Amino acid sequence: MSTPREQEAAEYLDKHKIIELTDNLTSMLFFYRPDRPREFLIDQLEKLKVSKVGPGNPPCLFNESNLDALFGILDPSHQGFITSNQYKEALKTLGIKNFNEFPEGASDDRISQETFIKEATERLVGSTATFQQ
Amino acid sequence: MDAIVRPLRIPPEMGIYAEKHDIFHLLQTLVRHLMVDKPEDPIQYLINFLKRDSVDVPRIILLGPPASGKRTIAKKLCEHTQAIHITFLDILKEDSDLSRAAQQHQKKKQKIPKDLWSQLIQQRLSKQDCVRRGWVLEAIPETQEEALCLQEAGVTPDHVVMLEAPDVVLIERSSGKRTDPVTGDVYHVTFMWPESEEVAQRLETPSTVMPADLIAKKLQKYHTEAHALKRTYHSRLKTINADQPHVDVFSQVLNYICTPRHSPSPYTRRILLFGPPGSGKSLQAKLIAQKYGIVNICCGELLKAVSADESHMGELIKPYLESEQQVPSSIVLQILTERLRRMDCSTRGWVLHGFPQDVEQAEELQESNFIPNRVFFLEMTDDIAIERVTLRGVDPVTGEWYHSIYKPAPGPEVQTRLRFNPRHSEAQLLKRLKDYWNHAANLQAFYPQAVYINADQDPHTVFESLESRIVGQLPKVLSNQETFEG
Repeated sequence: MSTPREQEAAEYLDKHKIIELTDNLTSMLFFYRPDRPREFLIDQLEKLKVSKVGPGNPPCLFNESNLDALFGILDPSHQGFITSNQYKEALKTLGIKNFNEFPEGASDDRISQETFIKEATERLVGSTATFQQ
Repeated sequence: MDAIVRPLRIPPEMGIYAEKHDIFHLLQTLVRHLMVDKPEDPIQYLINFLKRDSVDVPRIILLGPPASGKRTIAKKLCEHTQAIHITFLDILKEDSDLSRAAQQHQKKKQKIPKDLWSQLIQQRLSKQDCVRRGWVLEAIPETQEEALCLQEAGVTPDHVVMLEAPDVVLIERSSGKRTDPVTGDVYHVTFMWPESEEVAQRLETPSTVMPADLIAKKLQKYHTEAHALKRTYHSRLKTINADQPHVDVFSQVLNYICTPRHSPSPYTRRILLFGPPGSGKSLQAKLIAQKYGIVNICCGELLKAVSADESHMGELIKPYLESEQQVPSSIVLQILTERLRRMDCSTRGWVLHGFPQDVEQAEELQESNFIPNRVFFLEMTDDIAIERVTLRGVDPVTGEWYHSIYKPAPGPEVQTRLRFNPRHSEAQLLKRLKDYWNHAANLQAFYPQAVYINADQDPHTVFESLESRIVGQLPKVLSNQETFEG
């Protein structure tokens, strides 16, 4: 039985995507392990603030070269395509929760590198733009 | 990815980093403040909050009956921690609209309305100096109603100290109370006379001194409220006996302030147990693992388990184990680090015994980044060790271990069946003890933070002493602590 204050709190969390924000910040902290965590956090938050108003993507743990490398692992024989299952598992491993299950090429079970990178980047930007849209 | 062939490993560096910078506590405080204040722009709010660097400032409420010494303790605390000292009179004397309105109510001898009161407190606490340096509220709140008001306003203390003393003492103290009009310090005719003559001459009897029966009434009123207040703050409350010399009271209060509150942030324990053979390491490790869900790793057993495996590693170490030679350090380290790196150890923590056996092994362990956060040395004299180990025997039918003195076999047939492990013979044991003592001093120097526990006691007593060190967090050091002449 949640009181009005609890409901307000839950709504606030949702509206401003606080949980995703803390998740992202925590992953950044553990990956980079800066010596001065507070300054690092302030930096990341400033970048996030800037990306809200201007062009450019919000700070994210994975960049395009990471995605290329990931595709390379999934497709060692350089066919240029990966299966639907591989695509889904890969996006899950990157930490993306709601993604498009049926991108271009899913019906043939052949998802091209381009599609993969496009979908992944879009979703990553979506999950790191943790502010009110 | 394709099926999980290489299982997920969390590098130990992450755990160590998290502990060193108290990351979870930081993040939890951030989210907590967000939820209380609910700003429209959380990102900017977080930036400001982090810049102010006020995550761990003291937030203390000091309560107690009249004449229990609150003023003295509060002032000392503020000196020590650089926090701001706040009493209700101070707030009223401020120059703001709210305080003027409050003064109006007081003049008419009316009770200040709840909303005004909580607004006053909030206003004072949101000023820059309080936010940056922390605060000590003396005798606020006085009733449960006020306490609930504060909670609603989002003012939450980290520590609440309640001073207690028998009524007789308080009445005696109250009648001998004297204040220094210049500094506001409180002294007493018998218990606390000021050191300098100059101050002694200035002392005057405060206007609030009353005859004994009125004081008794006031005390009674306080007691009715105190009970309710205790309930409201019970999760962070500590009651301290004020009927002792004030330096003792202060050191107890300071001790309490320095122990960080038990926070729900994850805290994995990495424990090392050292001790001569027979000191009960395996037993204690088993008890700890059982009670706290930590993974118990006994080095000897780990090696045996690996050699029983049909793996490459197992083949390597079989010959060593069969001929009872020491397995080379590098192999042991490899096996051990592989085990420690698994998910269950990273998430639940580990308790290790039987390794390292000397300083080189300890250094290698350190380099592979498996740094313990609790180290224990179980201490025992050699004759007790001999007594404990040499009299052990196993019943080959049931597999139960018995000891001639501490756990004798149930009946004579079992007694005759008992087999004694040659490893537990006196000659072997003396050799193992000698080895242990050779390395013990160096190991102790390598782990200066180790705690020494007397193992010559009942196993449950030993377990309790271990527990008390494992469960609490290590006390934090105040950032601007000066040496305290006590």
